[in-house]
Amino acid sequence: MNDYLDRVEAQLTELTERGAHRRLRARRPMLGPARSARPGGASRPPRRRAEALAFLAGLAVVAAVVAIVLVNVHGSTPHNNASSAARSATESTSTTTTASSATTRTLPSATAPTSISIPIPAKFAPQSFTAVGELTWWLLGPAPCTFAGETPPCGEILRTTDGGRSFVGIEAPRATLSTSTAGTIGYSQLRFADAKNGFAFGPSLYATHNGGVSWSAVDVGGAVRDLEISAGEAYAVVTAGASNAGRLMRSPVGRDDWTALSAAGEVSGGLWVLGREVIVQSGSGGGFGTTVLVSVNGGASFGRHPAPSPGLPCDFQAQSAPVIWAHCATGTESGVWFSSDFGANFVSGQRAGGAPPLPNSAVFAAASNTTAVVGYQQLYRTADSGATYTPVKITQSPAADSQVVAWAYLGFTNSTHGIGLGYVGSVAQANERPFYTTDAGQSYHLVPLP
Amino acid sequence: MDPPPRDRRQWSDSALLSAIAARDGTAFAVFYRRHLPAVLAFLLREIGDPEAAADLAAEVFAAVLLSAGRYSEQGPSAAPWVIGIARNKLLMSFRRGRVEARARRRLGFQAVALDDGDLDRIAEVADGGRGRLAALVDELPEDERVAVRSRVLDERPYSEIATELRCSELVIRKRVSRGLARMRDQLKETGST
Repeated sequence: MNDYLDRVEAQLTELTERGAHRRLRARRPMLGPARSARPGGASRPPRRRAEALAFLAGLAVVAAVVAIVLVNVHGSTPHNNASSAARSATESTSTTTTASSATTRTLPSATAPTSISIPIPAKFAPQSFTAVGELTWWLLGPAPCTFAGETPPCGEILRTTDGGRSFVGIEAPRATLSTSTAGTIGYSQLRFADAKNGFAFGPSLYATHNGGVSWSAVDVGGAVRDLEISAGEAYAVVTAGASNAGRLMRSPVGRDDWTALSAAGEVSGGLWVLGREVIVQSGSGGGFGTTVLVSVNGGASFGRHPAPSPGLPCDFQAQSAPVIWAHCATGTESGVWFSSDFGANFVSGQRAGGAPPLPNSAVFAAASNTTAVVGYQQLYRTADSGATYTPVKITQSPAADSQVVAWAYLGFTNSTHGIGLGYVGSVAQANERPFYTTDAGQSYHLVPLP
Repeated sequence: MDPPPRDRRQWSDSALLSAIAARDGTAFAVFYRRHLPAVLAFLLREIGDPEAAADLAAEVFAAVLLSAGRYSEQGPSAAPWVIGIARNKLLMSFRRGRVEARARRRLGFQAVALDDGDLDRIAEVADGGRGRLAALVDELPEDERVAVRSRVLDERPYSEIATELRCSELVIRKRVSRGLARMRDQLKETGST
């Protein structure tokens, strides 16, 4: 018992005999009222108002100069063919596809963003994407820390209001940037409801109500594992500790007023909201449950149906009632299911023989009731509700010397436009790059970042 | 009903996992030694770094300990289940850019130092895992061997394999399924689940 493998064995054997695994199972969290402790315990307290205003006034002068320079740089930078194609398609369809269409997940504000732009770091690698239409998106990624006392890694947000033609940097919460919602501190994901109201979350929660000029920590009594926005409301799955399940909470996007939706009971994730439709997977003893919860009244009540892959995590998407797509883990693999009756019955693409083999790390996004894209190393697209799939074409920038080796995220902002975050060269966070589709996932084009 | 043999090395994976859930440390040690070579071989093949592979293997077996009570028997061997955990941990590690340690944190596992001398042993154990699996694959009939290698070891899509071999995906799926079943039977016969 003296080498590494033996010492690992000895320690795990001892933990087995001590019942460390049993104590953990017995200690699963109770779903009680909100606790007063800050989530994660690592979020910094809000800056004092006077201090913040003085700082922002100084920053505004510097940022104005930087913004002018950045705009000029973007305006004079030649774009490659791929981005030009994406841009021209965006522009040509923007007059016919409104941001408030049924497939757009959030409504854009008519008010221009008020945030202060900051320098964009070199080789920005986005890890989270959010949009309020074809043209206005935000990307969250790591950036050098710029303020005393910050603990790396820090984050920064890039915002575009012209479909990726140009970006400006805006401030992210002054807290640790985590790589996953399953982490213990900081934030890893970003959602904006409109130009002013946004949320950074996973596991801690931060909110801005001024377009990212300032962010404040929000205590919801647990870790935010999932957060989605629709119809002026933000919904979140909030868990205690490292548990996979917790409760569903909701707040108006314009203020931090989070309340639990008790009708949902214990929930575990896969959250999807569209209008007043709320879909989420049930929880069970702190783990993933066996039912799909579907509400058509903003979470006041839920219908319960068998989950496609009971006890394993699912993601749900619904672009138009009564269709619901589900992408679920099945063990070492994953699969896509389709329901045309509000989740009462799900049909497996695998069972029909038309679905490609998918690892359980595959990502999925539905553009419409018939069209969806799924994959990990290779993306596949279906245009017949999952009956058949065809490989998706990826167009690289001439400057990119590596191929996409895996996909970390897929999402659509409407029935034709969407984003994928792909690993280029090798699977590492620093290698994530955004790819844009304007043809409902038939092809993806690299979006060049500054 | 006969009592189980005293020697836990003769127990099935399912019996060992039930015992592990009930705090049987010896059962854990037997399970660990039974599956460590295959886990290390898999991780080393995917990562190529013995240090990271060993670190992640510790995380895999910590997750095994946490999940033992939820294991539901799906065949004579829990190897696919354990490799599934290893694959999940590997992918999570890739996504986060660091070796996963969540299961170990939950258990209160103390970090174990690793030195250069350990690396040789890790490679040696992994070779054992590779050798056993490779031997089983080599013993398969040719059509099943090609299908299992292409699908399971090289992780190629069924459609691609079917195109290359000029047959339908269904035929490839059947060959893989038959090949894996044959390998499971071999493992069962030799008692080395």
